[in-house]
Amino acid sequence: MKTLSISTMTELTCKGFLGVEVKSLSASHNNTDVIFKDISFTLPKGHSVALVGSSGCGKTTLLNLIYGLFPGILVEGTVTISPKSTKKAYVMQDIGLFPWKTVKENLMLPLILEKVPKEKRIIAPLLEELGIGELSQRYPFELSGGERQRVALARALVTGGELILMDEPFSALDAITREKLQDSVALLFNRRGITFILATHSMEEAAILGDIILVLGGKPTRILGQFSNPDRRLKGARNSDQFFKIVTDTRKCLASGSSL
Amino acid sequence: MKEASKLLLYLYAIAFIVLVWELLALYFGPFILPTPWEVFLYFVRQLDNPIFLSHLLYSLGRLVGGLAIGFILAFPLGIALGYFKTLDKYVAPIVFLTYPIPKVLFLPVLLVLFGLGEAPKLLIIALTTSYLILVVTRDSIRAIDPNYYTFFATLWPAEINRRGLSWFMAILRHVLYPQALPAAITAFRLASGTAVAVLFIAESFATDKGLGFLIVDAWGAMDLRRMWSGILAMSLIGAIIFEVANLLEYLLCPWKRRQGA
Repeated sequence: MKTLSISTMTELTCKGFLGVEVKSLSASHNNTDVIFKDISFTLPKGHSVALVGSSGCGKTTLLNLIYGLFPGILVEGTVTISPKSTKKAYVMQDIGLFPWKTVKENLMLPLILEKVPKEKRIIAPLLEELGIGELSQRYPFELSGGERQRVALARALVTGGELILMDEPFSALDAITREKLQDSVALLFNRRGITFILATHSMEEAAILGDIILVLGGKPTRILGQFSNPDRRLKGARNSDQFFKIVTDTRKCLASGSSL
Repeated sequence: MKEASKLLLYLYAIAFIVLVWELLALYFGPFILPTPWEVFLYFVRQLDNPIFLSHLLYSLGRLVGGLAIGFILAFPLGIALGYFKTLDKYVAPIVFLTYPIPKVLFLPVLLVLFGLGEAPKLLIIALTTSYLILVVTRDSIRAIDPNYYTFFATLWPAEINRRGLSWFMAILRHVLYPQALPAAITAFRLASGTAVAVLFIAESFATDKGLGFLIVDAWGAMDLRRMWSGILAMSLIGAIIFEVANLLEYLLCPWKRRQGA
């Protein structure tokens, strides 16, 4: 095991391939306390991967590593993001907005940090697209859970994110709001051709949002199963037989604890 | 509406204090405790008296100056201790060991060191107030959910170093300062009460200027109305500084205003 630097990880590019390639990625707190082992997958540009697994299985750590955040752990393997200039954004679990900034200020923050000139800091069309145009002067504590997550999504898109990582973005929402947001995300991201990786413990969410579903489990965590889910993009996918089949298969895979 | 109810509460508190004072004045008689109306009239007349005004301005200046020095020193240091773990490791034990010591005990030491001028009075107020502001600010930074730093890192442009000065300045502006400011203002508000008490002690034996001197001098001369007008002036200064802290929070922390709404 060795600790990789951010540059080592992002400089490795795979010629001709556009998207994300994770190859034999393992992480551990020390050489004995392994978080996950031998994770490999390929995600072509404009597609999505849903990582399904129970809480504490290392989904967040995996997302952090793909994003290039090193939480002080030992890592082995490679993450290739191609092209290297791909704009990344991260929608974190629970924390997605600063409570002392209004919606507008929260959305402006990444633009300020990127030193985007004032006249080019335009957020209104994005807010309208996400149906939160009237919320710009509110503080996060004045928003409902669903509105907060919409703003967090807007924040991820505001700098033109091409690869978006989402860590349980809808876990704190009620079922109706969750489904609405899942549909909005599916529509919006498909329309914009955004590549995204979603960590979730909901099999239904994975079946709606993941072109590829990776089931994580076991001790240490590894990939228990991989499902291709092209039908998720079809109209009415949520009520299709394929949707129920893939949810059932995912559930069985997770329960079995062994590779299919 | 909120302001109106606050004003009503203030009026209620004033009415209650005046009533209790009036009853006590009736009980003790004018040679021990003058009535509130008598003191108030005397106080208003004193506002035309240049000597009284000079005492008042000296006290106000010392209090504002001491509190400002205390805040300016303690707020950044508190943020630094909260954020930089290594610095905290070496400085926090000294802060916590000396925290329980009443700082006013060091007034004679400061008088020996700096003489009878303004410096020891300003410093003793600064010392008294800065400890509370320092500890509260430090703790508020330490209470930040570490995920906020990770979250901030996700917003940070990939091409800029995440450990440089620009990173620290950005995190200071967007995370540390807004997190610590409301807590520091609360500490300032609490410390202002202690500062008035310390000011009284400092002015009661090491100067011939200021309301503390006026109160003690009037007490020695058994001029009770003058003594009480000094007490009233000092209380008013304390109340005004308390309200100024509220105003600062209102202006500088707009999200707190909305949280309280």
